[in-house]
Amino acid sequence: MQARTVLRVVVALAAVGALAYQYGRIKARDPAEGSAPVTTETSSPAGRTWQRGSLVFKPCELGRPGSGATAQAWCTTFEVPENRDDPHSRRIGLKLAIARSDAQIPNADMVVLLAGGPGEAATESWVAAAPAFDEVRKHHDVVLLDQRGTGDSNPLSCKEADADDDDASYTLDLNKVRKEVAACLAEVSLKADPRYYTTTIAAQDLEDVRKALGSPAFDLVGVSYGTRMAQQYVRHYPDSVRSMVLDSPVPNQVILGEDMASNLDDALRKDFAACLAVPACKQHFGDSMQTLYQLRDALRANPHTVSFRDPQTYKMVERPLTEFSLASVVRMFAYQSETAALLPLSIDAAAHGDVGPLLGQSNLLSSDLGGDMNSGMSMSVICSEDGDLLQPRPQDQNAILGNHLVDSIKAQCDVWPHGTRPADFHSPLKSDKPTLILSGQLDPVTPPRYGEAILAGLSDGRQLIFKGQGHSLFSRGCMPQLLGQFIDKLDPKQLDASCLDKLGPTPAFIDFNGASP
Amino acid sequence: MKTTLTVFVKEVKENLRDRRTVLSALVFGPLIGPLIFVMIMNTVLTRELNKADQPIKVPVIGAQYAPNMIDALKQQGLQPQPPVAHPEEAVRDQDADVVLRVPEDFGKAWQKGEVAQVELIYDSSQRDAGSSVERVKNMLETYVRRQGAMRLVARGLSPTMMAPVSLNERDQSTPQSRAGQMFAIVPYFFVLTVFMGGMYLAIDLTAGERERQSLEPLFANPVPRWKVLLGKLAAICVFSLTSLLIGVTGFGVAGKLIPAEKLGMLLNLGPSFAGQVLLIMFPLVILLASLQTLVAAFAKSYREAQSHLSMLMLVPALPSILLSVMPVKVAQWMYAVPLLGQQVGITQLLRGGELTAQEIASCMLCGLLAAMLVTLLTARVYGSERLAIST
Repeated sequence: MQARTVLRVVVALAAVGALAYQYGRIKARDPAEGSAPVTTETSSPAGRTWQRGSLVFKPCELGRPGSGATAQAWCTTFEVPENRDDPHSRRIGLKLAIARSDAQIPNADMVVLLAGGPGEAATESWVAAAPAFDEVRKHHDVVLLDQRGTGDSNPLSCKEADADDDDASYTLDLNKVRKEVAACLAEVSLKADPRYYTTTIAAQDLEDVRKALGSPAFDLVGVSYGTRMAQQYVRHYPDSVRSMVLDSPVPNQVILGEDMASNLDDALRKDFAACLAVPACKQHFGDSMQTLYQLRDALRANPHTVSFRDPQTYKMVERPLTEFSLASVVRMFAYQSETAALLPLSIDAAAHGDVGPLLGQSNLLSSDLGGDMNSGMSMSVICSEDGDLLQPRPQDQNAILGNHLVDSIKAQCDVWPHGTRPADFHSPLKSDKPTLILSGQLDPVTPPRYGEAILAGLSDGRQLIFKGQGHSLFSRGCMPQLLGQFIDKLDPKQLDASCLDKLGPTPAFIDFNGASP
Repeated sequence: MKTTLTVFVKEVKENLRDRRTVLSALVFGPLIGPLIFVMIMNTVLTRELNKADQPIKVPVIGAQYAPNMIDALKQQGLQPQPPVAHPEEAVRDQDADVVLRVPEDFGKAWQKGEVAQVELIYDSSQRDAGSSVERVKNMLETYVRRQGAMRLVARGLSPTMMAPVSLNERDQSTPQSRAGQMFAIVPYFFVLTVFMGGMYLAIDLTAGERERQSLEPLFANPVPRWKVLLGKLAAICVFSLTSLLIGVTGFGVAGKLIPAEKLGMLLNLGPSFAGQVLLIMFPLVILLASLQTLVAAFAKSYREAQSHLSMLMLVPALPSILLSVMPVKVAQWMYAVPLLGQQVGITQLLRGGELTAQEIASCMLCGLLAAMLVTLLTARVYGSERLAIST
């Protein structure tokens, strides 16, 4: 009898245990309150997959051209109709990647990196940007969508037109530009209709991606042109956005390209003033701005071919040295404080006939915001959204950049098809989203006043000015930590950004061995 | 059955009156685990959260020889302090973790493009110096790399020439798995809870009664001794089970107090965790009750039983200690070994994993089997004449 009782007890206990276990399993599958991304990771003989929302991702390596470095992520292809008004139009595949948080259960909102350019691909930028997102990824997954026309999303690149690029001319021949753009258009038209590669349409792609991911709220991190994308996205889909970080932003009301020449001259003047303030630098180089203008005038009068060693292959190469190539390489140097510190030295060397230091870097430095004009996507964006609004600017005639950029944009847009833009495209952003604006004091493309202009329309925004820094700031100083803190706490006004005060200028090189020690 | 029930009710009632037993079984035993757990987790949390770079104060000798370098280090968070007269002694006496010295001819070598040198003075045998030294070293290396790259760019060369290979580290650990080694100690707390819950009863019901000479009259009753034993065992089990319940609840409360989500950790110590822990710990409750009774049965006095049982308490700690010192790969057979099974099972749960029904079943079945064997053995010992006689 006792044995039977014991048996009963054991059976009862086992039943309760089994129930508790079932309950436990159900509870365990149901993630903690508040964060509810439905994600499952499975591995099958076909390979590991990860599901988020309705999308299935596979492990992948993200790389970027010109480097062997890669970063791990989860990738998939997201299909959209090229012409969103006609669902039966050509379908294009967008490359979508997610750099996953190492948290067991990441926060429900996702961070989206919006790359610059226009023309840069988010998945390619990620390789270099990833370390700056370490803090963010403690709690958040990062969404990387190659905007249509870039990276692996039906890129509008002109490989054949690029190939002829080597015999660049001594003068800015606008007819030649038009001819090249026409060739590029012929190549691109085989696989795309360039009218549909605008910011507005790409924002719709991003919203579709968001829905497919299970409609998480987005924290937008836009860099340079990416900030324009962020502003357009938040205007059309305010409920999809949780916060914004606008790094080196361009306000909606600015016409891309219109004041690039004066912005560059302003930044250069500040760079060179820092050199003049240091006795050793002043003694070596005097007023570099003056040297630069003299060099420009000399080249305008007498453009010529120069030879120097390629910085990577060390082979001797020949390139035309014109006022245009001078302007574009100087502009690229000004982007970062480290290269800006080399400008007085490099300009001085070039003025003395040694162009290696200056031109050697011309194919290394990446350019941004209208710099990469070979990208069809960039032309689609600029010609649809800014090209027709560009006014001739006689006052920039004598600036280092002159009117080259405006002229060439106009010439390109003569040929390249224009898409449409909403009537309110260039009206200032009004938003109550928590927003952080990052502006570099010496930024040659998006000066701090651009950030101020955006800040005026924000009710919960804050601008951080980076002393002595140039363009693209999210990886500078303690910004990676602040990025994480901001996205976690969403309180731009209370954010303790005092660690940025440590940042400062990079002293200019006075000879090839550096600044004074 | 009635005998067993009578013994059970009597023992439970009696021991509930004893303040020491109640305190140890129902308060200290079960709550020490959650308390220590909160402490451990807070250590982990501070370790993970403190990685944010705080400014670091370093005495600098000869800062005037390299003002731009010091400025660049300041941008990275170094706070130069006035020079100290005897840096070697200062670091040995722990007046400073690390001292940076710039030699007088630094600038000369720098400007000539020769190798310039700076000195980091520290004493690696002093605790705490390590992280400061690492940080200052990193700052210097960053500065050196950047200057080297700029020198190359200034010469029209690519900075990639200097670092032809980039190392991409892919640490597969998560905050949870990094805390894993610390989790290894937690299962022991559950075992300890069960142990403490039943210990005083086990001593009192055997060695204690013998000392008080009340066991002899009890056994004089015309009932089988094993029925008495069952009643006593049941009383011990109820105490240790209650203790375990309190402990598990304590962990549930502790789980809510720890802001683990700040680290992206998932600490699920709620009902699901509690339920699974109770399930796999249940055989241990019986096993330990029998084991304690068995050991106490060999003791002549209360004191002796106490010291025997204290020794026994160390046995369940072995798997915990072993696993936290040298993490081994968890294998299926481990679930079948009592104590080890509970250890790996609970660690698995803490690390955010799940236990399969099979793992729980093997944990329970083998545990119950072992418990039965020990109970039979104890019953045999109880059956011997020697037991009732007190000296």
